[in-house]
Amino acid sequence: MLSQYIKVKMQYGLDIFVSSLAMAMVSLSGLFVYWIVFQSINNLGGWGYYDIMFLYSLYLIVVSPSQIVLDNLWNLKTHIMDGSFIKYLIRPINSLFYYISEIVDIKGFAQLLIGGGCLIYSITKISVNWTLGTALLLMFFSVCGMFIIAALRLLAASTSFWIMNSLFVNMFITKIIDLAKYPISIYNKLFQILFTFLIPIGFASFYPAELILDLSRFTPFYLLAPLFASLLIVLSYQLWFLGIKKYSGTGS
Amino acid sequence: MKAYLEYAKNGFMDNSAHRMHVFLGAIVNVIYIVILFFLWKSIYSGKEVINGMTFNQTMIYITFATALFGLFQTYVENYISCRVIFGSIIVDFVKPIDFQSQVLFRSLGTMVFNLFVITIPVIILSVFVFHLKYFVGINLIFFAIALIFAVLLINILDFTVGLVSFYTESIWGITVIKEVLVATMAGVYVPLEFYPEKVRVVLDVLPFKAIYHTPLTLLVDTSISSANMLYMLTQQFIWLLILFILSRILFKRAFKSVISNGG
Repeated sequence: MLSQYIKVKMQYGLDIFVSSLAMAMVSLSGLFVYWIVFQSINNLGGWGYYDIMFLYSLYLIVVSPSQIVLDNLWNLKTHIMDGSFIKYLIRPINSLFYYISEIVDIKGFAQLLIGGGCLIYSITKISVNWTLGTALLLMFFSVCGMFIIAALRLLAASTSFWIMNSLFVNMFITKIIDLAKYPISIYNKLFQILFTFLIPIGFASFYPAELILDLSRFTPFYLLAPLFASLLIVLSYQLWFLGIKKYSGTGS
Repeated sequence: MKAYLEYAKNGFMDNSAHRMHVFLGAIVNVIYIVILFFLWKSIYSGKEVINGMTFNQTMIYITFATALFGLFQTYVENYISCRVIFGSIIVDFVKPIDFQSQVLFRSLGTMVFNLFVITIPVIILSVFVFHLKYFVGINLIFFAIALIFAVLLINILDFTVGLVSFYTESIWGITVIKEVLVATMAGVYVPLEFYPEKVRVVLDVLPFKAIYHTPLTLLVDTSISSANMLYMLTQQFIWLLILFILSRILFKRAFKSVISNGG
């Protein structure tokens, strides 16, 4: 099914190419900014250039699955408003799965690729003692991060069932998620608490990167990442189906 | 003149239709600028001056760069692309007002909207929360003129890039590429003073820095002589002329392609 979809999309070869190039440039420009800044300083709140690159590539990797898989959520508002959303409810499959599987955003792979490349490059430069355990830990936290970001996106999109113009809620959360690329340790207490507990994007990239860079600082605090991830998944999944229920109610 | 103002009004109204947008947009920008404040504070920790700029100067630069970046978001490419795809561009061409002027005045209207939602909150924040000190002097007059040039420059650039939609429907990628190039080469995220010398040599001969770096330097750097300020404005003006002529030529060509398709 995916291969068919890619074939259809490939008809717009130029569009795919330009969009992917744009995505890659956006991803690289973030790193470019850090590169420029590090011409004049040698550490940012105790983080070296390659530590920051490690954090940044982790951010790209954690964000890209949502970009690839959840892109159709941007259209949810339109589908609800013009009534075409009903088609996702009449088939006997999970409506969320059906809805998101309709679009696979290929340009997201450009982001993932840049993220992966930068991650490997930064790993060769940072002083981390790599064992199988560390690698598994990194993978585990990345998966948690992916789900935190995905769940936040789903939560924002699900507001479409209640709010007429949810596009701005989606834009809002997109810009907030963007902030996951900065080291949270440089913020003041208020903003640290905000991005640790209220909108826990800190657990998407910053805290995992911090832990991997220095495993000796491990405390149970870092285990909040899987906790927040599972909590947010359940919450966003419930909200989606709550919204579906509401939608069916008004539709009949 | 009244007809032109109608376009500006449209540009304003298009955006203000959604109160939610206004509210969330303002909040996001305030959060973003606060994050940048922490970031630059951390960069400046233990240092008074970096690359000839004090923290106060850099923070004014960054605050205004962000404020202007928000101000300049008028989605010209999207607008033109939609008109082309739905065919209403033909109606625009029939009107007695030149199409590029229609786009310019619509953008000016949008910018007035952006001014209240993005630019002014950010500047207020910079004075009352960050306690940044602005230099009040003759440079503010030069800054104001440079800003007007910058507004025209960005609009001409947006318009020229928007002309691509006469040839293809995939405008998203092209717009994003333009945004990234302008932001990095004009010094939106980091002042150009921080860039390595080799990179700066290249950027100095490109028009991008006239959009952000020239006005921002006039705002921040008090050591520039009046003669030098005039020189910077002249440079900006020359770029304005070159880009304007270029946009006219490309517009004429795009215009013809539509006629032939329609015929």
